[in-house]
Amino acid sequence: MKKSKLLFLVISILSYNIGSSQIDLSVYDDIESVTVTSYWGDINVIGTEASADRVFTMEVVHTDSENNAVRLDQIEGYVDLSVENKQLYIETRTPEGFESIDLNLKIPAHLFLDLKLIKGGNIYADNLKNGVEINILNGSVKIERIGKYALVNAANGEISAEFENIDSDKPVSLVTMNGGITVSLPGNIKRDVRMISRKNGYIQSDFPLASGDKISLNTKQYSKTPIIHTARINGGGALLFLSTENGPLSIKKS
Amino acid sequence: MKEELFEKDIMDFVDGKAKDISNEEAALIGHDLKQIVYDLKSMPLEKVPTTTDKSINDFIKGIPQQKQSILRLNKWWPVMVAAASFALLILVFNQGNSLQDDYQILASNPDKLNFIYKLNEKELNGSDIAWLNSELKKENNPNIKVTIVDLLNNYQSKLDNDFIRQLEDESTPSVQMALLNTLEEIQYEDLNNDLWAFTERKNLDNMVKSKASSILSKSTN
Repeated sequence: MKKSKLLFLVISILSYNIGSSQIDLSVYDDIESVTVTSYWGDINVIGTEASADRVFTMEVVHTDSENNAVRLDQIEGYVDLSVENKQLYIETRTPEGFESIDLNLKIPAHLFLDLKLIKGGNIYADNLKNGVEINILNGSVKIERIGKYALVNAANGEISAEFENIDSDKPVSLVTMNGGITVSLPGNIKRDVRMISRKNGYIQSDFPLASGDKISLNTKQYSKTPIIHTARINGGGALLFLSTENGPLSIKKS
Repeated sequence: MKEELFEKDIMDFVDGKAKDISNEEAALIGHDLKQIVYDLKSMPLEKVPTTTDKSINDFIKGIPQQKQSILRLNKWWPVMVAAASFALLILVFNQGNSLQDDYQILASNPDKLNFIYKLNEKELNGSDIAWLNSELKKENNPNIKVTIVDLLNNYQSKLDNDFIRQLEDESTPSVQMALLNTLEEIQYEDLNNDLWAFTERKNLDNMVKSKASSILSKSTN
């Protein structure tokens, strides 16, 4: 009996939170890009297709120093929205004590996304067709179904990136200081590849890597010496730059 | 000869110098001509419109003006030739600026990054490296910065104080680490002083601090 009461209470709290707090951003429908700047907290961005189902919303969850998480109906004082030159700027407030602000965004898939996470958290982005640029200090980055190009820079955290309809003349640059890098690319892609893994690294690749260097491929043995190579995929093309100070590099066919 | 005499008689008759012409045939011609001259003289006089005067006046004024404009062009011609020659000389001999100019018209980060990476196919000179150092200082995107450092790493013997001082202003850990990796391989006498100052910075990432300390300990041993 006590268990069922407890379960009912949990469900009630969850349903209360889930049922509210979607901030409507459709008023900004004519913008071309979204720039998010945050300090602590996770950022999730989902691209929605141009159809009747397309939505442009934001959900904000504030977690205080006591670890109490609340979905905000009113974001004033927590998150600032502004528009300039067809760019929507979403900026969270400077942290007051140890707090975090999670942002869950659904944006039109054609918008360019620029994310900056100044302190830490995890970043997830999916189905964005016009490219992403991401800078993060602490935390992992996972991006899927990304189009055009991506520039990702992390300090402490792994990077996983999967691409669709990537521009043949645009670069992909994935740089982290501490963590492995995994990139998934269409099988017919042509790239010049620059690979740097300073320590504890190895290179895995589903693609043959043409190079003047002798590259040790697909042996999961952590190297004690720096691995630095330049190679070509399918004859070469725009740049694929993968660099980590500590961790392996993996290039997969998507 | 006879015809010439008749013509003189006719002219004298028309001018009023003779009252009659003895030859009948010449007399008929003379009377007809005199009548034509009389009719012409009796026609009303048509005054030339003032606009015509103005047109003629403008035309006359225009002739010296055109000549003057040709003279002006001739006057500046040597200066224009000299300026064009100077521009051509700059274009031919100042290739460093051309590289820089090509880069500065690029607006987007992916295009700038592509451009920097393509410089791996060129042999860079001292002014190119100086320019890349200045770009490294003012660039905001860390991915472009890391690519610049990776490029400059090929020119370690040409890197000077400007490159070493990049650490002072750099705040992104991955860029700091890329700089340290290159600095580790440069023999530079003042490097230790700069590194000591760098390791004293607040909020330095542990991994970066450890790397800087490692370089310092290697150089002092």
